[in-house]
Amino acid sequence: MKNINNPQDQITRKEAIKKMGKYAALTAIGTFIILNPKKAQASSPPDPGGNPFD
Amino acid sequence: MNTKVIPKLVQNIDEDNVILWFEKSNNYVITSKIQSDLITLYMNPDESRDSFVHYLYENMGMSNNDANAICNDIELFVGNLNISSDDDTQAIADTPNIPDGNIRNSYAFYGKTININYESELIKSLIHPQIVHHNITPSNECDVLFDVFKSNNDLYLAKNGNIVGSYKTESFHFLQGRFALELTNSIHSTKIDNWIATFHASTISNGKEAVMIIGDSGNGKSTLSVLLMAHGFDILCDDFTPLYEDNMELHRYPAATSIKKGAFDALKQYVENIDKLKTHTSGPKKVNIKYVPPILSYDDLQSSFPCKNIVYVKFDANAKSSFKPVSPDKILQTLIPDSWVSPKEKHALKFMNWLKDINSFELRYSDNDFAISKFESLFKDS
Repeated sequence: MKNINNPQDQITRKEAIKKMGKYAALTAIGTFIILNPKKAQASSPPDPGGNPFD
Repeated sequence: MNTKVIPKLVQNIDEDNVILWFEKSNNYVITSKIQSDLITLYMNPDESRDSFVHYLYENMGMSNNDANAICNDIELFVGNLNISSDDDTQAIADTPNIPDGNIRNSYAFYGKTININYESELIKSLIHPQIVHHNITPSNECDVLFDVFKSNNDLYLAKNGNIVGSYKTESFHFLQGRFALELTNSIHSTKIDNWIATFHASTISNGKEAVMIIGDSGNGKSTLSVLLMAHGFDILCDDFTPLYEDNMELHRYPAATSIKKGAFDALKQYVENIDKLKTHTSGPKKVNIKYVPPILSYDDLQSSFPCKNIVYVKFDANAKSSFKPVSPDKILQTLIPDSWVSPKEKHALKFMNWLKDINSFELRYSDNDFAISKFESLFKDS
C-alpha cells in the first residue's frame, strides 16, 4: 500500500484522463459510499421500548 | 476551485478502492481509484470548471453534456461532504450545580478506586449493572469521582467536580459512551485527547492480540463474545472498543457483557450460573438484559492489544454457517457509521493507516461450534 500523500501531487489532470479512458470516466460516477462517524462516543442505543426514561 | 473542499487524506484500501477523508464533515468516502482521481483532478485549485469540461471533451471525445453531467455530479458530491453535521451531544448552556449524590458507590479497577455519586436509582441503572463486579465497600477516598445526575430534563456527567457532558434523556447512550471513555481513560492513566476512536464492537483476545467483532445491533456480537469467553478467550471489550493513539492498540474496557433475553437459553450450556445473574428490565416494554462479568480478573490481565483482524458477524438460525475474507469496504460500511472517530486530522491519518493493515472477514453462523473453531483458527494463523 502507498503512504498517504497530498492528492494534488499525485498526477496531473491530463495524464489521468488519458489513463482512464472515456468508458472509465463515464461509469465512475455514482460508485462512492459516504460514511459519517458518530459525533460523540456512545454505547449501543436502547432497543425500541427499552428507554428507562420513557 | 475551492481548495477547502479537497479531501484531506487519501489511502488505498485494496487494489481497486481508496478511502478519502474530508476534514470539515469528518466524513470518509470509499470509492474507486478512478473516481478518486477524477474528484481530485476536478478539485485542482489551479484550474477552472470550464477547463475540466474542456479536457473531458477534448481528450476523451465526450459530448459537452456528458462532461457537464460529470462535473455536476462531482459538485453535488463534494458539496455534501463539506457540511458540518450537528453534534449528538449538546452545548452546556447554564451549568447546573452538582447535587449531593443520594447514592454513592465505590469501584476498584486495577488498584484504583473510582467513586460514583448517582442522583437516583434510575440513573444508577444506566451505569452500575455493567460494572457491579468491581463494586467495593463505599470509601471516602478515591482516585476519581464521577457525578451522574439529571437537571431540567437533561442528564449530566461530571468528573472530579467538572461537568464533562450533558445529554437529553433519550440520548442516554451517549452519556454511557462518554462515561465509558472517561472510565477507560482513568483506569489506564491515558490522555483523554489521545483517543482515536471508540468502536461499536466487541473485542476478544488470546492474551497476545485482539480480534474485533462488529455487526448491526441484534447480530449477536455480545453472545458470540460470551461463547468465546467460555472457550478460553478473554473479552477485552463489549460494545465499546477504544483505540489509543500512543500505541495504536485496543484498550480494555472492563465492563460486563450485556446479553439480551433471546440469548439466555443459548448460553445456558456454556455459562455456569447464568440463571443466577440478575435480570434487569428497562423501559415501557420491559426489555430484559443480563450482564455477564468477565471470567478472568482484570488485575491479572494486560490492558491493551494490537488488532489485525475484524470479523463481521451475523447469527442466523436458518443459515448455513460460513466464514470468508471480505473486501475492507464491507467492514468499513458497518464500522465507521456506528463508531466515534476523532475529527482531528492527525487521528484521521493514524486511523486510515491502521485500517490498511486490517484483514476483514465475514462470519455467518447457526452453529456455535463452527463459529468458535473459526476464531480459534484465526488466532492460530495470525
